[in-house]
Amino acid sequence: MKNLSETEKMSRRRFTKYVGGAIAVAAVAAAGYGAYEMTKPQPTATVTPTQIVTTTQPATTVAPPPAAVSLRGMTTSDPNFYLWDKDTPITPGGLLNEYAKKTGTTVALERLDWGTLYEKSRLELQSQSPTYDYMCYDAYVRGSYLPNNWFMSWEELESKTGLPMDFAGMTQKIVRDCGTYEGKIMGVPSGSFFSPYFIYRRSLFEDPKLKDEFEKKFRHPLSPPNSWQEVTELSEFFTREISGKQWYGISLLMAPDSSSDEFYFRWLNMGGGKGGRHASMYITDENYEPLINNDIGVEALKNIVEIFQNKWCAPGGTEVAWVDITSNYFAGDVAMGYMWSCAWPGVDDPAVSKAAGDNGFHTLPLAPDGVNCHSSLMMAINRFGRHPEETYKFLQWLLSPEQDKRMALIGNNPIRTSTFQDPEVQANPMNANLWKMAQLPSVPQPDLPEFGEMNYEFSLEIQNAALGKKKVEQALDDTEAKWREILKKAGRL
Amino acid sequence: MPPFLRRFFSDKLGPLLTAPSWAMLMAISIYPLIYCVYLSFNDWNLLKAYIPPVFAGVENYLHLVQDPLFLNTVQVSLTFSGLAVSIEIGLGIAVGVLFSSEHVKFGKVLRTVLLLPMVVTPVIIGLTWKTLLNQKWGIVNYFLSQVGIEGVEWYTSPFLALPTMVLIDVWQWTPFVALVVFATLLSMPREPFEAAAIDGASRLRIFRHITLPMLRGSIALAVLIRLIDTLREFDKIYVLTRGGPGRATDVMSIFAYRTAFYHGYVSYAAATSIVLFIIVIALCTVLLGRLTPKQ
Repeated sequence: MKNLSETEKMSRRRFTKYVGGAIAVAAVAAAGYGAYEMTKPQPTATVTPTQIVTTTQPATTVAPPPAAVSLRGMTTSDPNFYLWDKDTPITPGGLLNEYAKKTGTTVALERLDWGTLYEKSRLELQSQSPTYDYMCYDAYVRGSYLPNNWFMSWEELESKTGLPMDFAGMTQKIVRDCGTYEGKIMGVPSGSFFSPYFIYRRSLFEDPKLKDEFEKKFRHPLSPPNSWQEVTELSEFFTREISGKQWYGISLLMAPDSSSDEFYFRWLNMGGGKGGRHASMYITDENYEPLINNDIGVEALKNIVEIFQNKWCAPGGTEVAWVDITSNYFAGDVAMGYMWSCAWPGVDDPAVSKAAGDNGFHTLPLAPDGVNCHSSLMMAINRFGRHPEETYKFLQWLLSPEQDKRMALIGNNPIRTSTFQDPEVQANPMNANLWKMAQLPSVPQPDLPEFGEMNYEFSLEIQNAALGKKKVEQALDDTEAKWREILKKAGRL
Repeated sequence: MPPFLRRFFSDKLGPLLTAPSWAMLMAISIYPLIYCVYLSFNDWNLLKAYIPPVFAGVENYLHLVQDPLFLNTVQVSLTFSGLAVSIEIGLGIAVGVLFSSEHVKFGKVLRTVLLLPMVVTPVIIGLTWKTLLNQKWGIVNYFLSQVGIEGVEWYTSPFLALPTMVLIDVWQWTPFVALVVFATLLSMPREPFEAAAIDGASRLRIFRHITLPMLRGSIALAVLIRLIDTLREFDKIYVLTRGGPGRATDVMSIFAYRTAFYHGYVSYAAATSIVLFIIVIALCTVLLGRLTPKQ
């Protein structure tokens, strides 16, 4: 290293001093600004309609929209959202194109997988980004979305535009339970989803040889399941080679975040949530005490574990998520499936489903005191978007009775009672069964912001039980303990 | 040059010219780090973002060291790193030495092919391996079934998932170590090797007593880079297992990510990241001290 002169040393010291000082000052300023930003009061979730517009939405909402408007939205990649631009004889060119031709407003739609939508929409809304005019949120996460005041009130936009939405004509329990917050409608359904909603391969269930064999083995006729015990029997029976092809009885949801749904469906149908809080899907009582750890809980979990451990389900183990059980059924080697009803549009479309033309639909009867689940991917209008009114106009058109019927005829789960009751719509056995489910008593998924975490922890315990690392009872005990910890941390217990 | 200009150039110009770089560094590196430290001392939940952060002191850190889930992630991360780096270094040295041999034909082509895994995006690698190793229709299981091995649960079994992640990392990054070793071997002086050969030393002795000591610096560099990389491994595991089954592949970055963006505990995740940062720095310092050649 060369020897530095005194002047050079001085200069170097001074340089270090200046730059170091600048960094320190900038760091303190940045941290201070960050702290200030974080701690300054946020707008509350209960502002009046006029406050909503004036406090958080700049003049763009008041100013007339430009002649050619482009709207952008994001939804999940569930099959029902592919119907929006599907070119069919009923919707030639697709509905989005039709709307663009009719109004000059173009509508872009990004379909993302569930996890990506959750992360992306949250970050967009959190940062008050105007990029997306509309988006869907899963009823599952409404507890952590709606209190943040991220969405426009639908009633407010209805009165501003003068275009009626006819909220009363929509599936009421979904609008009420999944879209309403503090008396205001913040989300409307993109479809009416009920689960579990069974679908099965008709040809297998009607095969005389298989019918004989089944009856000999299980001492009752082969038919779609009427109890969860029968689901297990059918899973066992159909996991085999039939005419030289390997079949699987069922596809089990076992991935983190999903396997808990396998449990809830069984547990609710069997009547496990007696005395539960309605908006908590009965998983807690009114005081947030966990309710799943009971005899019916043990029975429900044992039912899952039995199918999984005996491999009476499509392979894929603990990584089978929602999208996989749909694609497993569409792949044509699964005898029977169930899912949120939004998964089944397209099942009779030979372009995407090998099961097309060979499907039966079925509703599982509920046990006394048993209930079903209802949900939806709710459409919401971004409060920070550029064109809230134009977005409302588009969605008001898309979700109108006329378009709802057209979408139902191409496979969507209707959102309106009038559509459900339409004879043309009822002619499709999928819609007819869905309407039956709509009549059954049902509960929404929990509105707790902590539900995601509770669900995640529970799904890992279900995996532990299924993989033989824990007994069913132990897994439920540990889940209850973990839930208590989470709820306590949130100040609910 | 007039003295005032000379003074300006010697005193002010340097800081002035480097200022944009410092500003950039501040914005994208220093500020987020400071903010992360700030968050780690607060209690703030992204799912309830309408409630402002509350100062929590060292509570997050205290909870972290008692959290069995976090301790599990540390264990999984260290196991993953330890296994992956050891295998990559062992195999990388072997492949690097092999390539430096005059007897290898098509060396240039092979070296290019070897580079391919490194240039592929990790997410694509994850998706590709997810397809290859699919239990139901993956090509690997298809070939195995031809020899009587059925339905290997590569990434869905709690016992095989972590070794599978290690395997994929080894596949992707062994070439990096091999190239570092190969480049170092090419730049080595020939004299010590020739002298040893004249003295009758066997190839193994030459490798052990001359090649390996001369490679020490490069190996240290490779270990350091791979260690940092494996400890912050995220993409491939996220795509393949998201930390599962159970918590079998729940490495620290996945844990921090899930804690922040799924469960909303941003402050707790920030504390996790700071601890991860400290672990990486500590391990690297120790390793550097042990592996770098002494002056």
